[in-house]
Amino acid sequence: MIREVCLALVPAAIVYTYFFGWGVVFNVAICISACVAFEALALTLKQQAPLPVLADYSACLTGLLLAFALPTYLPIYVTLTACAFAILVAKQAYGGIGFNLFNPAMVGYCAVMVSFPIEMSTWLPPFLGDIDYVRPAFTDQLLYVLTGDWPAPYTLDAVSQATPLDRVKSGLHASEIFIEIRTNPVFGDFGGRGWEWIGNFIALGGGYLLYRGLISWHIPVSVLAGVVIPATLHSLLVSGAVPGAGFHVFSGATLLGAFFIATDPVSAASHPRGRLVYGFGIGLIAWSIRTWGGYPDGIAFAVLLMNTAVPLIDRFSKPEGTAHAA
Amino acid sequence: MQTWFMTIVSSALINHLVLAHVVRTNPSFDDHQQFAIALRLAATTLIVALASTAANFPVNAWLLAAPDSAFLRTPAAILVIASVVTIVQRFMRSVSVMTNEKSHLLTALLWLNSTVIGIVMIHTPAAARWLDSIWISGAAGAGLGLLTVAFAASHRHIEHDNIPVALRGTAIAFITAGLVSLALLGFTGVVR
Repeated sequence: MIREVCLALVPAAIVYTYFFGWGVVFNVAICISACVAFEALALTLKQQAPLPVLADYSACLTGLLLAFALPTYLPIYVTLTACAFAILVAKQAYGGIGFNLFNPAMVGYCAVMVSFPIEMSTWLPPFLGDIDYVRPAFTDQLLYVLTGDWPAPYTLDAVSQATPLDRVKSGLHASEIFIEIRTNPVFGDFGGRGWEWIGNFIALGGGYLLYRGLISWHIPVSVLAGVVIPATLHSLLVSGAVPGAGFHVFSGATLLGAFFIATDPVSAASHPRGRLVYGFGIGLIAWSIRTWGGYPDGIAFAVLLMNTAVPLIDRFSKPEGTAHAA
Repeated sequence: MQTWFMTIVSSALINHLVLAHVVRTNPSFDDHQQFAIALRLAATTLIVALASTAANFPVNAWLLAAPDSAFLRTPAAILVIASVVTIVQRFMRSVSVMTNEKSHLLTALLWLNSTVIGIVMIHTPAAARWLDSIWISGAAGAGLGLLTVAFAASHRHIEHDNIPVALRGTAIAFITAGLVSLALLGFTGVVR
């Protein structure tokens, strides 16, 4: 089952690599192997045989989700820290798969987000053809990942570009209105060019999961509703001065969160009604953090906050008659 | 209001510990009872936070208005809170809300003391007006209560045999509280 979830992300990973280059490949390779290695280490320490547990592919999925969430070029020590937090702290400390209170990949992401803000906001822009960006060669990219320093003559400022979410945030901060900000050539139909294509393929993978019955519709629909409803209302209220629903859905981790992250069966609410509350909460918190917070994206924090609320949600959403069962 | 979140984040660290302590002193509590205690604890937090801020603001603003009296703020706050806690405790006993759990209530109130000191000490000087200070500490108290209840509900998830022996009990409670604080950091910058 988890293997199929991983496979559903492969088309999106290929498109991601097409737009963003080798960094995605580095990320996927480092994250998956590190997560598997940390899982094996933890299991060995617990005197369990690692192989049967590793065969459930859950560590692979955590690694893959982290690879999607982290910036495409990231020094290896940051990536390894994220993997260690995800597997050792969020998963194995709680007793391994099936017992984690928080989504492991998001714990890893948030831990490095608050610890390495500069590295975590260094994004290379997507290949777009008509926009001329400085693009380091393969070996220089690899050197950066291994050492954390761009080799001469590249500098951080020359190489990195603001993501669409960053651009909107700094534009709004400088009292521009969204309609003006959108005229920048990096924006496409809804989100950033390139970015929205990755979103399309993630949604395609999500559609496959729904079709195969691997996830229920409640969480993706309610996460999207949690983003779309407030974003539309807010945008209408100020006549387009802030981003509307289309931009929010196709930017950042909204689609990845709705289909692949929030739907983690262990850390999500377990009853249909509770799932609707859980998903809507994630969408709403993520939109709030994007709109008023200091971080450009809020999906990861929103997932962790709603994970905290899951036992409470489960308690109140259980079918009648089992509400007080131990 | 930035401090609003700080109070909640820092209090998350002690929430579960105290709750676990309250429950462990009487192992016969089931989930339902524990949840009920958490709800009462949350309600008491809110009441004490509101009442002690309301009482402490005039003390700070008028009684300790002299420029050299800043050093008296902490003792004065402790005095005010201690009185408020005693009054609340008596009131609760008189309406027999907590008859069976007197001893646990005492433990809980001890905890409340320290937290509420935090709320009052942080917010009283920051708020310019009496109503502001009440509103802010009310919000902090409510947030704190919500976390208390959330932690009570999560207790079954962090007390089971699959957790590595070395991490059981207090250690995993601390890890959980730390991760909750991490999640709350997402709100950094919401209030400028």
